[in-house]
Amino acid sequence: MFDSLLVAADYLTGGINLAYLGLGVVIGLLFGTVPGLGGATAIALLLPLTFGMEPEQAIILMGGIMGAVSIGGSVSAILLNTPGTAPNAATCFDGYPLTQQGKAGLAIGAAATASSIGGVIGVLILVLVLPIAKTIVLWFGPPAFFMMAVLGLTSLTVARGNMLRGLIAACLGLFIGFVGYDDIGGTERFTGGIEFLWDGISIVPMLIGLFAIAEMMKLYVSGGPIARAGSAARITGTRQGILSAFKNFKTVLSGSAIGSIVGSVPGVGGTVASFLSYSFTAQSSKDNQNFGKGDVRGVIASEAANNAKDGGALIPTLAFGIPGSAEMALFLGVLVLHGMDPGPMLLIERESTIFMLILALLTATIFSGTLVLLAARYLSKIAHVDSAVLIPAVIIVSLVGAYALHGSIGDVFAAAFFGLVGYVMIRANYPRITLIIAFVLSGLMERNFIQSMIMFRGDWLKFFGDTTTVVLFALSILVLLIPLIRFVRSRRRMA
Amino acid sequence: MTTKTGNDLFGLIIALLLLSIAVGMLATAHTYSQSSGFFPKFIGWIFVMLALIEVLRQLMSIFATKEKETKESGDHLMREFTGFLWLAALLATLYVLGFLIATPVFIFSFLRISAGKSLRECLLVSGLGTVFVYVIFVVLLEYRLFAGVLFAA
Amino acid sequence: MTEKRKPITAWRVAVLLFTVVIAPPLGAELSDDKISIVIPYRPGGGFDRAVRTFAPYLARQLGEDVTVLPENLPGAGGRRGATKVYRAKADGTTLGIFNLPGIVLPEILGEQLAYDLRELSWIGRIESQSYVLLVAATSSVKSIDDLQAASTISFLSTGYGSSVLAASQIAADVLGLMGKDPIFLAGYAGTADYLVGLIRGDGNVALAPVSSAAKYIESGDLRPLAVSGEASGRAGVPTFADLGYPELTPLNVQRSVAGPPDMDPELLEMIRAAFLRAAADPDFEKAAEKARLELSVLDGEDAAQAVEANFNFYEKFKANLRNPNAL
Repeated sequence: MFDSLLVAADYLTGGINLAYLGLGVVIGLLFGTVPGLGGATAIALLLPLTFGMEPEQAIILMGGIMGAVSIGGSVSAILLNTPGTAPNAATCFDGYPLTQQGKAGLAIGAAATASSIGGVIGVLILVLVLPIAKTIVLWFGPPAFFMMAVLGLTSLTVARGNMLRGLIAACLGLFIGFVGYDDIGGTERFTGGIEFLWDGISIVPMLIGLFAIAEMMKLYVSGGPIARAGSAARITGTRQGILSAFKNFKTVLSGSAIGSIVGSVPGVGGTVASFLSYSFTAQSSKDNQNFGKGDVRGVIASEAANNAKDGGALIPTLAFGIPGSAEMALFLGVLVLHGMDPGPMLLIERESTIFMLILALLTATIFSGTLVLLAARYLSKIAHVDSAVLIPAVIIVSLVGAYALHGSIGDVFAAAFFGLVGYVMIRANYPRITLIIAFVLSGLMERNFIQSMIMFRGDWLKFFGDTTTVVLFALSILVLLIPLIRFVRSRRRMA
Repeated sequence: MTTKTGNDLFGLIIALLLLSIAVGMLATAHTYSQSSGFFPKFIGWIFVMLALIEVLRQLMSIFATKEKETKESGDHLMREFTGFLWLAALLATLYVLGFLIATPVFIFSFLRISAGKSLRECLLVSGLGTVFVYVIFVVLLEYRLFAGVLFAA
Repeated sequence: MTEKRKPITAWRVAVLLFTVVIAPPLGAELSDDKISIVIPYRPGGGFDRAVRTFAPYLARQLGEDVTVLPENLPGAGGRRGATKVYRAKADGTTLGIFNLPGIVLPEILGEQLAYDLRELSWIGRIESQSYVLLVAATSSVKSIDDLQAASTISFLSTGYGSSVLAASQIAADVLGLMGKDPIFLAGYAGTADYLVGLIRGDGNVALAPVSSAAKYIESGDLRPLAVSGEASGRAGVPTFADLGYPELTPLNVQRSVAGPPDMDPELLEMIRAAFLRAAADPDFEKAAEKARLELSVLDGEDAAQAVEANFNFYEKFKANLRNPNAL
């Protein structure tokens, strides 16, 4: 095993291959920053272009992209309140308020550092876990996946703000997730016969609309740059941000662990991972009344998780060829295109290739983090840019991104529609993040519940016959109890 | 001025809208087969109940408030409306003329009409924007951007 | 009367040269030298791979300046791409790659479609592979007889409308398993997902295309019981026919290329001939092996007949194909 690692490292550092890595990082940062584009779109658009490349070079390129995307996404989350990719959503909670207070540099510094460290830890966990990867993947069947979705939803409801509005937003998100062809029941649901809706609504146009477009509309209506006039014009604070990531190392660790674990759940991972990490940190930290108003620990928790998830997503991918995330699914396509067969034999037959990917991912995470830190000063100036220029620029680029996803103008209209929805939600004070996460969890929850019931021939008590499921159920109950416990404690303190 | 609590007439309208969506969803869900309809019905009932509670809350808070909250300035609503119009205009232009024409047209007219920028600045920014989109998507990624129904026919 | 002899002008010479030497051959001609092959799925899958590997060789055979461009058009389970090809102009510039029986099933299952597969102008088949019946390696089931003696049967597959579920329902019937009220645990997102489910024990049996299953058999996680098709090609694994179930022999997954309906017959012949030449190109065969394609080339006529045969096979078993989980 060790010599495969050396072979991989040797190949990676060979001249042009480093250039491919660098290219991947730049592309990843760019695509990550533009709201809605993300790693999956980048890989999908570049996949045909890799046809002429050496397989190893294609892999290095993809590794570079995947390692950089989340860090790019954190920049727009912090500066524009618009997550560059869905997993960056939780970074908005505290990142944007920091920007409004003129502390964008602090936020970006913390985010980039936490991201890099989180990514490294994620890869380390992956490597440690790899020998038992298959066993871990086999722990999670339909009942466990269902319970994981339940855990995600319970964390969602206790997270923040007005609980009633949060629950309603969650219901709406779940409902939007039901739109499309249900391939267990065999029915087209809520599509009104429109063929475009057959596959359901994609998260990318939704994300673009709810965040990028809605935020730009809000900016248009309120006028003026993002950073409030009079807030500190000095952009330094990046160094402070870097230091804060180290000062709160426990948060980085917990975020990375959660990111890794949840990231390994196929299909859902990233978004839920960063949100769970944020929730956990917000709930369990002492002195947590500033979460949501500019507590840098919120940024750290979210960003550490959404980079660690890349390592996590590789676990099922390498164990069995099941993609742990949308990027992984496309990455598998790249492998297939170059004659490699994703599956349990991949790790055995192509050890050095896999190590190359892991090394590329690792290096890309650190490299992109460094790039962002260096550019932080200039990036945070965006908060002071005239909104008249910012608004059309962001809207155009976002809509191009929406189109680029499937080459369908329908996605552009969908994005605009959700832009409207998002703006209304801002005005009426309904949480958009809750809607997105409920939407993401909708499919996971329903599919696995129905499959479980088919497996159990309707006897739902059998859910508790599966250990993993019981553990997750207990965690959900715990999550619901925490605010109750705190409430009781604070009452007692007052008495 | 975004009202902090969202408790006003607007909030009531939204709550009613949500209630009607929930009812519609529930009704439609009943037409589906058992496994397809199960979750939509389950969530549908919860949704209806929650929306109902919210409607009632809004009604109560509207009648209870002695001092009316700061009324939305007509200015504010006007701004929202024009914002909506800009977006609609962009979509229409995109649909008919495609990305590569809509981009400079939109950026230029927005900067000129809405922000009153100098001609030079408008041209510069719209030019840069179009070049950016073109270089990244058409040249580097070899992507075929939507050309607009006018040209695709 | 003396006619002034018309001078043989340069113009007339040029026209003559043009018609004889430079003009494209009479009859079949492509109206454009850019051909697109529509792939009704996302980039990165098996169809994508097949088209991207084959395209340059087809282009070579169609003419010097011709380029063949793969065009991904995912959506609605393949219907979107299929509809586009069905409605395209029949001038040879738009072709598509199709999944059989996947694309045949919706019609059999009673869906109103915007296209009729049997009207397409079939050009040729690239790949075909058999289905293999699998159990977990840790299972006590070692043969079909064991399976028939098992107390419960639970087939794993992708969702309703997929070829695998249909194949499972037919297999369950032919193998005499229906008496045990088998569970059809459908709805997995993809082949890899339900094969891992099989390893995990969500169910106890599954069917899968040979190339997808091979890696799990090789790694020792799954055990093959039988395979469809005429010949096994794998030591120790009998065909369904060998075991006395020849009705299951036609089960397979095919990837074939077709153009829109009503293509000019001469044009169609020309493209079909180019297709065959490209498929026989030794460079293509090397590339296909590298890309792990399951080459099984058929010419246009035979490919069209394979569609018909597919249709009839599933039509015959129509009664088995109701949604087992719709209730």
